[in-house]
Amino acid sequence: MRRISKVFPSFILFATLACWVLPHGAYGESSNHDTWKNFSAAQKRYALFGFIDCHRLLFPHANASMYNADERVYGEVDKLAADNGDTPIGRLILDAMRKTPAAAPDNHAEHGGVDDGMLWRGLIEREKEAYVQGVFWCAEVAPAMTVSLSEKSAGAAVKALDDWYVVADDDWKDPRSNARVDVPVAVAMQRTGILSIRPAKKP
Amino acid sequence: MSNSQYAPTVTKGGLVTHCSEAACSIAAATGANTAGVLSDANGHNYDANTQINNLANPKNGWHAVTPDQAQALANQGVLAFATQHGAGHGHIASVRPEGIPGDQPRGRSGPILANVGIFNGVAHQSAVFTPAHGAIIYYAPNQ
Repeated sequence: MRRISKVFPSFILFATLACWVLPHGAYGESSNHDTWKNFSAAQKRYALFGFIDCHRLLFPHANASMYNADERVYGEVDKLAADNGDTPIGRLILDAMRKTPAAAPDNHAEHGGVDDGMLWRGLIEREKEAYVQGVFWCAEVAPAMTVSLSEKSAGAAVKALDDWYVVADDDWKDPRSNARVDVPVAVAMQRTGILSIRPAKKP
Repeated sequence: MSNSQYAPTVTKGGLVTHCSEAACSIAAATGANTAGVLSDANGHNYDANTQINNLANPKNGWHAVTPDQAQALANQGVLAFATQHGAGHGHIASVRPEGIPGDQPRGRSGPILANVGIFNGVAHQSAVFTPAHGAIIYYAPNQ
């Protein structure tokens, strides 16, 4: 985290351990390597997406080029996890992203977009839980922030987000559906009170 | 759709998705001539917005159909696309026949699509497109 601390020198004065309200169950254990290992490739993808979205929110001035999420990154996390059993998964994800060179430009792909309400409507339950878990893992390794999570589990957070995005409104008749669809998921987590971020208090 | 090369990724902080590549390769797999509509003469796919503009041009041998017509055509094995021209890169997805064993479409309303994008999987229109982002137009080839 040295690099991030340089970007935010003012926070160093207030640095303290993140206040972390641990959710219960398999998803919430802070260094739960088993959760990562048991994720499918799609779950690992969306865990990384959640991690990255949360990290951008916490560190908006961080160099965006550090964010990579593809199969090579998942593989690097797997390797690091095997050798660093006590290290929080969030820290391993950061290390893996830094170690993995960015993929070559793909001129035939679409570039851009954000993880917003359309992503949320498209994901299945276990992918949503993985996304939320990625946010949890990110919050866990934020050194100069107080991050609290009101929900007791990833599943509860998923339910709250489903309600907020009005996912049940499959015909897009509720005005909230269209009004909220472009809101990034990480921001929705703040608006729903699932994720609360503020600079840590002086020790 | 299940091709791992088409999985969404993040590269240098930017989201990378593959709907136009998938549309091109699905069309090619069905025997359709993609040149000038979905791809250049060398088979390299155009971006989604260009593909959608080409599908909308009657000179290219495609025409707009209703969602129900698109689903009916797909059920008969005819290639059809759902599209949304976007301020960003737009989005395109092929319509998938109903009732394929093992399919558990995401969402509940609208035709069934083989979506490649921010997520890859079988989904109803409602899980892929929002009316808030513009008109959702279906295209099928002229018979």
